[in-house]
Amino acid sequence: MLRTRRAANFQEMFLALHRFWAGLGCVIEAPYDVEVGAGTLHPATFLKALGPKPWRVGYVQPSRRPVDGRYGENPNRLYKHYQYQVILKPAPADVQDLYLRSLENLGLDLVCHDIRFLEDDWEAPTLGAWGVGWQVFLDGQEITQFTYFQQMGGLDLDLISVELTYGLERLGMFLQRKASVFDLEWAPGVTYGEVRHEEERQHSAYGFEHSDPGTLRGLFDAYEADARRLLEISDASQVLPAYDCVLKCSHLFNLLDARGAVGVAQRVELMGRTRALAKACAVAYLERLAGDDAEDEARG
Amino acid sequence: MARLLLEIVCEELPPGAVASALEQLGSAAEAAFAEARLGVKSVKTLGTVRRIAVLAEGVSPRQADRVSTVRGPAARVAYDAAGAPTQAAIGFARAQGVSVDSLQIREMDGGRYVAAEVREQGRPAIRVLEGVLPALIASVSFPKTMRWEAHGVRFGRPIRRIVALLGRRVVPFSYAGVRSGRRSAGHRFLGTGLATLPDADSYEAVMDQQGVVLDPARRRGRIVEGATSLAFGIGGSPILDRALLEELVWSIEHPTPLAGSFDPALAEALPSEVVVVTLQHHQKYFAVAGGSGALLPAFVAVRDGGVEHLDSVRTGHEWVVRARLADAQFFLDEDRRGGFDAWCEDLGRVAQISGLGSVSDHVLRVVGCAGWLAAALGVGAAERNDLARAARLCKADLVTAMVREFPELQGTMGRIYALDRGERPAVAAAIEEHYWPKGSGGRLPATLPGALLAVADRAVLIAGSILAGLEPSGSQDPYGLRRAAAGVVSVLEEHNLGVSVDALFSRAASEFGVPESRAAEAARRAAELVRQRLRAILIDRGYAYDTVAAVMAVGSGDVPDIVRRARALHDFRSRPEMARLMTAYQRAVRIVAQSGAVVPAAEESLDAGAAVREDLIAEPAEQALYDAWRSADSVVRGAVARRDYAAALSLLAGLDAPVAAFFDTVLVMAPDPLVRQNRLALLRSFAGSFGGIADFGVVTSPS
Repeated sequence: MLRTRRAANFQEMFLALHRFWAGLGCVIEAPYDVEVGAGTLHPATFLKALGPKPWRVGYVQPSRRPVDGRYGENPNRLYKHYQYQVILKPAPADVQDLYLRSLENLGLDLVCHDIRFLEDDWEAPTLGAWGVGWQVFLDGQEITQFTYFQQMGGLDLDLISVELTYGLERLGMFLQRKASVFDLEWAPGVTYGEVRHEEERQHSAYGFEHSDPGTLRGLFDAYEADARRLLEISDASQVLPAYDCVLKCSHLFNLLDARGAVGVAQRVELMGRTRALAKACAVAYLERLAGDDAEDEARG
Repeated sequence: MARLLLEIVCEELPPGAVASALEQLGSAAEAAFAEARLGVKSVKTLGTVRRIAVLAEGVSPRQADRVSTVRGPAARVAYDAAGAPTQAAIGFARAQGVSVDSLQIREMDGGRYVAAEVREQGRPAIRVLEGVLPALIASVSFPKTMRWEAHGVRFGRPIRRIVALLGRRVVPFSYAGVRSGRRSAGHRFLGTGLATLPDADSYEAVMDQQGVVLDPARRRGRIVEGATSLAFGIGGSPILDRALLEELVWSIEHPTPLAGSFDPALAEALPSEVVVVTLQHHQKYFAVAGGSGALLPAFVAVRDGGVEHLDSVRTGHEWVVRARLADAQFFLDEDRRGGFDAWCEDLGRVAQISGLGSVSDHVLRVVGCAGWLAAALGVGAAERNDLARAARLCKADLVTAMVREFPELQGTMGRIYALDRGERPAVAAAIEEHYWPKGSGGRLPATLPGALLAVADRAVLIAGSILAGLEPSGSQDPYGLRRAAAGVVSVLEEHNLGVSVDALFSRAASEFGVPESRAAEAARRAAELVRQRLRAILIDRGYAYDTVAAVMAVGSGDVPDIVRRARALHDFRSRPEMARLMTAYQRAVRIVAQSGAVVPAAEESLDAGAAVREDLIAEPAEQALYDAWRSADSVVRGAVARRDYAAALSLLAGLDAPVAAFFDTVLVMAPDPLVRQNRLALLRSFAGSFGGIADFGVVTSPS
């Protein structure tokens, strides 16, 4: 006795999640316009998770992982994939139920499936960040990373955020029963492959063959220096531009890594430099927040 | 008498931590009830991934009264000459809330004092539990804890409900921002919303209605029976991996096994190890073996839920398995385009442990160390060639797509790819086996090249980690060096590899190109780490501390030899002549020591024997001991050379009668210095004969 239902296409997933989380008080943000490896690096997550102010946000984030590029030939691996990212700060007591309702909202009839929250702790050493939580499995398919942040930029958090990261391609392939990501229906009559395949091919070739390690290294140094310069400016008033530079460094490191241009010692060193900058941004951002609060109080 | 229930409902706890949390909760509850003077008949725990509960039967309604004796003023000031109580006594009685008449005079603290027996009445159990239960929750510890709200409480996962009932009544308190009550939570999908408990007695029945199988043994039974009968139905049996079974028992509230299948062509195309790892580790399914032991294209998944819509669930799992296996097929194809040369080159970009360079650097050192080891042990040319080849290739699979995706297949993929590419089977086997044993008691390398490579790889890892300052300390051993050291011991013993661990680590440390003194220090500490493991392993086998210490105090750090000597001495210590032999040995050593001479090591005892002059032997018992020793010593020496330590000890035991007779009738410290020196030389020779087996001076008692 199988229940049938219409699978949402790819863009309907974005829309359904936007509507659902907006209804729960989330600000619907846009993807960040600097390359990132994961939705967590969006300032709406990394920086907003810091400090004592409540915050709720939802957004789609294209995430680039050059080393995962497969020239569009592997049906499951992508240079760039889409994450749907939700931050709820503080984490509400019924957050698991809210999450499950969001799945129903995508057209999943939960009683027809096997939903499991399997222990999985998350760590991003280059951000000095970690949290605990689960991977959520749907009939054995991992569809979401569910994390209670504990530290960001090496700092204990004042207020604990929960982060939900939906893997949209995996979820979409499951809903649409497609064996290849490129066969996903993105919009009526338009496939994922039509929208993205050429991009996968070109960027994989760029990442593995055509990027210029000398240029990438030069850019890394330049963005790092600029981040340092910006962080020196008084009252942490340039922390947001500085953070953009850190994101650039992080992506440039990923490109160098994919190119096979990073030796062992250098790898540790570049990661350490990026982590130091991310931590400095976190500290500066909190300093800025404290400054704003003091100003508000003075005005009030 | 009522039943007490404390249930802590959480978001999904780490499955590996639940059993321990329950154990802690149970024993902490027993201790806390005793401490709080609450009578309780029995305590048990029940729990799942989402709840830990403790149940106490027969809780007495009140805390037991406490009677204590309080010392008052000295007797002489408490009563006047007429024996009437003074103001001091009256005041004391009032302060303690007792009547003056009830005061007693007692001898206390070296004087006579007035004492009051104060009875503190026990409070109602429910009042006491208000304080006890929150402390009980706080006492549960987890390997890793988290915060989830501003209150800052740490626990394994967020606490969402607390049920605390004594009979029908709620024990009221708050913990981690949650107020205790009578509402629990049922199974996430089978529960009916409100899981309200009328009383503590109804806990199991209500949870059963709510779809929660509280008892881990029942969950295990459902999984094992279900999986077995489903697999039987498709002509096979489930591969019930223990770790997976336990993980499922502690991660599912209502287990319902279901069988699924996948395309036989995929099962054909993929190595069976890849299929098993995909199913077991990644999908958490049981693989199914057919009658011949070969894998069937089927699996048993365990749903957390009931039998409703099981077909839909099966379809979902089958779809996912197909995708995962197709994924693995893709990795295999990708790897087929690569090869060992390219992979080895890529190892230059993979970090070994921090400060030790790349895996490629590590491999070069292992090649050097393995070659030395083979030469030191006189290994034949064919096996040395296989070893050298395997050493060069042993880490190459780390950069393959398959191992990047399935790290647990390291070594296994190396073997499979080596065979694919026409490497000799012995090379392929050594590549896989060099990771063995994977844990304590794990499978050991079967081939000699595999064993030598396993030792060389670990020796380089340990020496290098110590050079990099990453020695284990206390319970901290992040790089698994103790496990590696134990692996060295097991492999050396299993393959009877008689190499000194000092020489082994000297060589391993010399591979790092650091100044000699640093290398020597690292080698010394590495060898000590292995000796510590060896000591622990021998003591685990039931050998006495002093037996182990005695055999390790002599010899060259040759592991199989130490093990053999330990076994022989251990066995010998249960024999009756051991006590007499020990007495004789200790007397001999004591007298020699008092004379200022030293007991020679094994290799010197012959010279010591030569120092005995037959012409100076005067007494018959002296002659008898000399004769007995001379005939025994060369045979003992032969037995030690053959490493037949049991025989050597038996021979030495044969000397106990002549030694005893010698001490009974011969004066060692004879007035004539020549005679005296000769007798001391005889005793030194006798004691020296033990030196090839153990330092008997370390053996404390002839147990």
